[in-house]
Amino acid sequence: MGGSDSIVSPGSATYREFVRLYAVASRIAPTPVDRWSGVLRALHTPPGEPERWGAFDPRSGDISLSAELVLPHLTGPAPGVAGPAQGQALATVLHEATHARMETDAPHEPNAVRTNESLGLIEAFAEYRAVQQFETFAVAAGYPDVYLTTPQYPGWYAAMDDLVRQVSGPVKSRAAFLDEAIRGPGAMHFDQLADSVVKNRLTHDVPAGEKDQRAARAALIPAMAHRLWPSLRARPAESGLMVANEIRQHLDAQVDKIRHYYRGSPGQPYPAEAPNPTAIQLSPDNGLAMSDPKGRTEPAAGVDLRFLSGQAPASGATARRPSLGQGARGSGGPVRRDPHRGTDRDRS
Amino acid sequence: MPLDIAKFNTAFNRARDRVRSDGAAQVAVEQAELRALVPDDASEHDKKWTAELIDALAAPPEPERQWSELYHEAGRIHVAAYPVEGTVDEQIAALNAARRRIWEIADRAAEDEAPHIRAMTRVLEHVEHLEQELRNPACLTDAGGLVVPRDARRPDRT
Repeated sequence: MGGSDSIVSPGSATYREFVRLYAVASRIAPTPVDRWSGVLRALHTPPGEPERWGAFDPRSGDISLSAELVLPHLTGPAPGVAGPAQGQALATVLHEATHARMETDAPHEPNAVRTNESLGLIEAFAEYRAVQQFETFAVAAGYPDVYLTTPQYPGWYAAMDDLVRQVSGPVKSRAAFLDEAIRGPGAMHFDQLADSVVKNRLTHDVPAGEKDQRAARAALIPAMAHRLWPSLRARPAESGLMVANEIRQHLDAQVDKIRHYYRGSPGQPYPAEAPNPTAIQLSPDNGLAMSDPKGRTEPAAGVDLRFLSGQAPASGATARRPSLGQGARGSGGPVRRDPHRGTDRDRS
Repeated sequence: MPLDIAKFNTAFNRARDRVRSDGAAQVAVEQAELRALVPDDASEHDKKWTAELIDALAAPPEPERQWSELYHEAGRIHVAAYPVEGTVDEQIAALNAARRRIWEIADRAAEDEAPHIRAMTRVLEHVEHLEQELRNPACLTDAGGLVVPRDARRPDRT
């Protein structure tokens, strides 16, 4: 697919309105990070080809929005002009702001998940947030008449919504998870979901100390890092629910194991494998109790680049790649990917 | 004291979940708690939009939207757009064809429905990404995945 873009003039009304909307998105859910470069681009698509909606480029920090589907609708508060097209446009802004306002990777976190499954979840979460906070965002921004219909067909939304409901509870609510995940980093979304499980379902089982909490989360992450996360964006809702149901079974089983383990008063953290053992390598004295029985190591910088670019590990490195049970990549050299891969707004 | 928007937003989301999804909340109580988060000296703008949200909590849920047959036709194409079987080239061709068919349907749909139909193509329009993913499927294992024949698995990866 072709396509080009042009920089939106900072002096234009459209640019100023985007800046205002971006600020509103930040005010309703502040985050410690702002990666937007200040450059807004208009995405143009050749005649005859369907438009793209938007993208955040983590390398340049530029945000691109469709010249036809999004930018014309950033008109500012104006009663009577709202419609479904404007709702979709505002949701696109919120989606891209979500990417720009958090770090994607977390190379120093033992529980970071740095795989394609995580990239799939990052996309799913950005859209989940756009839907969940759309009402507040639109009203606070002065567009009270716009609306967004809940996505009916795509699998990722069904999976994400179901999973968040599964893990949420009286101790850590859906709203609390949403706030936490908006702050990122994206590679920690699985860990943040696992934290909800520990807080809500293992409240009285896992000791409050960080080592135990982190180990329990690490043990729960593989149950959620389903191999189909990356493909759910092009799958129907039924597939999303199927994935969520499988995750439920795996989560229930793992919760039982952890509960059983701690009821034996073991005196040490659950023996879980860290999703990101390179972080342990980086900090050998951090006192983590999680085991890494295969002794796998990998230069963190290499992982970092491959994860952020969405590339497969280089051939030969696969045996040392962190595995979460969903499988490691096979042979084959690095794959060129579009730098937008992890952050395009893949909605439907 | 200015409005703490983030705090209000979190409280609103929690109240909304309780009222609309969980059905385990008293709307008037939730509304009162939310109003208490808006200080008297908040700006007029902040008072206005927070009041709109708080009032909306008590509104009955809108009836589920009735879509036209065109919408559901596009939905069926979307669901079938990602064939499990076939070569990578065939899958990519199918995705491209689905995008075009959905846009054609959107062009025939009512003005207030067309954007929603076009929105379905969003996941199908990033063909350059899907193509790369399809051409470089990960090696799958049996752990934690769907129980399907291995031959049918490879095209699942995107």
